[in-house]
Amino acid sequence: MDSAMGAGTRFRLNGAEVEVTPRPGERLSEVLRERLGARDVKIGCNAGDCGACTVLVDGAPVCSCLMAAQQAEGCAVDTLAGLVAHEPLARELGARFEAQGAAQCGICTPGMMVSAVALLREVPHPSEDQVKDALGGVLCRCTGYAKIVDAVMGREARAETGGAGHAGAAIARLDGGPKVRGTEGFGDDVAPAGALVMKVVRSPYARAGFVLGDLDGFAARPGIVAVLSAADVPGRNLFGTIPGFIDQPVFAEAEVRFRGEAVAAVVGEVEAMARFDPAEFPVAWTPLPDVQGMAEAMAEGAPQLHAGRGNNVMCGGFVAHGDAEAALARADLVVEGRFETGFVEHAYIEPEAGFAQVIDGRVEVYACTQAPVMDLDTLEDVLGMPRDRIRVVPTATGGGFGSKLDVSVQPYLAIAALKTGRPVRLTYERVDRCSRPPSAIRPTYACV
Amino acid sequence: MTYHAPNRLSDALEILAGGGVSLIAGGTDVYPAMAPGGPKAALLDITRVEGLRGVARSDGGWRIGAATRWSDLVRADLPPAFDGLKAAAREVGSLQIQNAGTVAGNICNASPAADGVPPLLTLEAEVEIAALGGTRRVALGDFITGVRQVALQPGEMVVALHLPDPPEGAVAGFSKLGARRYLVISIAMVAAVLRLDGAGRIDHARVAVGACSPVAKRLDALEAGMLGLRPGEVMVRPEHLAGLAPIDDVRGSAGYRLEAVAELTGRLIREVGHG
Repeated sequence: MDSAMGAGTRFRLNGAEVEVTPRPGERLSEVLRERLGARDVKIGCNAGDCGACTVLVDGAPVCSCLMAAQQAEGCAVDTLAGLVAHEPLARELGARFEAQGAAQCGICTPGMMVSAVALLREVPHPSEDQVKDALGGVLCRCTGYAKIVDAVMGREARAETGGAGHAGAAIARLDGGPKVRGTEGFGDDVAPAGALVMKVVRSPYARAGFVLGDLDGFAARPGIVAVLSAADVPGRNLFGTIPGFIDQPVFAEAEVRFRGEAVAAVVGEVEAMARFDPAEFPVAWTPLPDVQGMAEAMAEGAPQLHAGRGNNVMCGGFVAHGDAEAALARADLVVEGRFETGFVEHAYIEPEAGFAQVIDGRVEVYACTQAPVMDLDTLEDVLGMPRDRIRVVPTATGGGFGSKLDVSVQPYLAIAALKTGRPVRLTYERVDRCSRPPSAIRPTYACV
Repeated sequence: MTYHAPNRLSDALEILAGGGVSLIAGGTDVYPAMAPGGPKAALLDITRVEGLRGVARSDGGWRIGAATRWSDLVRADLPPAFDGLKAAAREVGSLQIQNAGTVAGNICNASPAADGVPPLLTLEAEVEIAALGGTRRVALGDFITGVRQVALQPGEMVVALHLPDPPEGAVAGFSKLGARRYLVISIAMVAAVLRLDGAGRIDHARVAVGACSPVAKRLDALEAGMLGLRPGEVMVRPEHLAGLAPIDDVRGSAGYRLEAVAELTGRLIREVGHG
C-alpha cells in the first residue's frame, strides 16, 4: 500500500466488495452510513461509550465510530443487516429478540445483536456471564438488559405471543421485525441522499451578550448554503412545551441565558459541513454575570435572567389539604428531609435528529419526536404559517423517556428547508443536548 | 490533509520527522478527543507497520509491539505473573474497545485512570522509543510525566513495551473499582505481582495504584513492608499510601478513593497470595 492513501479504500461489506474514498480519518461508521447506505449501523455517542455502532471487522466486534475508515482496507466488515441476510444464526437470534421483547426502542438492537452473533459463533450455548461480557460494550436504556440476555442465551420467552389480536391477547409486536433486521428508520436514518447538513452554533457561556459578525461572508464560503439566526425566524421566535411558559427563543437575540443556547445555524453541503468547526463562526461574546444553581438564582441581588420572572422564578404553586400545621403540632415525631438531585441526562441512545423538506409549498418535518401534534403547534407559531402548510412525520424514536416531548431539531429544520428550498438534515451531538435540571425538595414528615 | 498508512517503520519515522502529523492506532482515544470539523493535522496510522503488532519473547523478557490490541494480549500465552495485566486488559472499556485499542496507546494517552499502567508498572515495563536517529528505552514510570503528558520528543514514537521476565513462580492480579461493571472509568485500581517462598512468605512484591495520583504509582513502602509476611498478614496503612494524591471529581471524593484503594489493595494481596 502507498504510504499516503489518496486512493480508495477497498473492503468487503456484508459479503460484497466496496470501494470508497473517505476523508482522512473519516470514521468507519460515517462511511458505512453515508457513503454505503448501511443505516442499520446506529450512531449514539461517537465516542465508544454506547456500542450502538458495533460492526464485525474480520469477525471481531468494534465500535465503527472509533475506527478510521482507511483501516478497513482489505477487511471483511459485517453489519446487522448483512448478518441477518446471510447467517441463519443471526435470523434465529432476531426471532428470539422479538419473542423476548428484547428490542424495545430498537436503537441498541443492531449493536446488541452484532455483538451477540460474534459470541454465539464461538460459544453456541453461553453462560450468563459470558453473555454479559460480550454485550457489556453496548448500552440499552429501555430493557434493563434482562430480556436481551435471555434472548442471547435462548431462554424460554416469558409470554406467548401468537394471539389473534383481540383485546387481552398477547400478539407479536407490530414493529418488532424492522428493529431486529436493521431496517427501522430512526430520526437520522430517513433523510434523502444529497440533503444539506445543518449544525447549530451554541453559546459556550452560561450568560453572555453577543454580536454576530459577517454572516453573509460566512455564507459565501465554499459549500456553505445558508446561515440562520433570529432574523430568519418567520413567526414568533419562541417555543416551549407548556402554554404559559413559552419563553425559549429558537435563536437567542443579543443575549444567551444558558450554556449551549443556540445563536445561529449553518447549512451546507455534506463535505463542507464535515469540516465545519463552530469555533470559526463569526460571533463575538461578552460574558455577563450568571447564576449557577437554585440558591444563587434566588439570592438577593442575583442577576435577573428573564423580564417578568422576578427572583428568577418561573412559577409557583400551592396545594392545600387539611390542616397541616395542626397535624405537625400534635405529632409525636417530626422529621425534616432535604433531598437534592443533580443534573440527569435522559441518555437515550438516539440523538435528536431529523430532516425537513418543502413539498408543494408545505414544509414537512421528519423527526424522532414523542409529540408530533405539539410539534405542529410549535411550528405553526414559530413559522407563522397556517397549520395545513406544515406536516410533522414522527420517525421511530430511539428512546426518549419524555425528553423528546420537548422541541429540539424541529424549528431549525423547518426554517432551514423553507429558506434553502432543499432537504436539510440535523443530528444533535451529545454536546447539543440539554439535561434535566437539578431539583431540591424539603419535605416535613410527621408521625401522629 | 493526508492519511498515511506506511508498512515500514522507517517510512513512518520519516513522516513523523517531517512534523505536522498526529499518530493513530486503535483510534479509541483519538476519536473521542477530536474537535468538530475533523482532524486538524495529517494522520499517521501505525497499524500497518510490519512488526508492530503482537506479543513475543525477546531476550530476557517479553516484547509487546506498539500496535498490539488489548484483545491480542488477552489471547497471548503468558506466564501467571501476567495475569494482572490480562485482567486489566479485560477491563479496558469493553470488548469493542479491547479489539481496537492498543496497549501502547493506553500509556501514550497518559490518563491517570489508564487501566494498563498499574499492571505494567508492577511488571517493570520499559518503553522502546524510536526516531530517525535511533531508539532509546525509558522506564514506564519515567515515560509518563504527568496528566496526559509523556516523554516523547518531536519525531519520536513508541514502538514497543519490554517486560523483563518476572521471578519464576510469581503470581499476579488486578482489581478495579468503577460505578458499574462495564464501560466504566476507574475510581481507583490496583495491580500486584507477588511471589511466595516455600514457607508461604512474600519474597517479591510489586504493587501499583492507578486513578489516585496524576500518574499511577508503585507503593514502595508497602512493597518493602510486605516482604517476609504471609499475604493474610499484610495490613495496608495510611503511610503506605502517602505518595498518592487523589482528586475529588464526579466519580468519587479524594477521601473515598484513599479508603477504597486501601481496601482494594488488601483484598487483592490476599486473593493473589492465596491463588
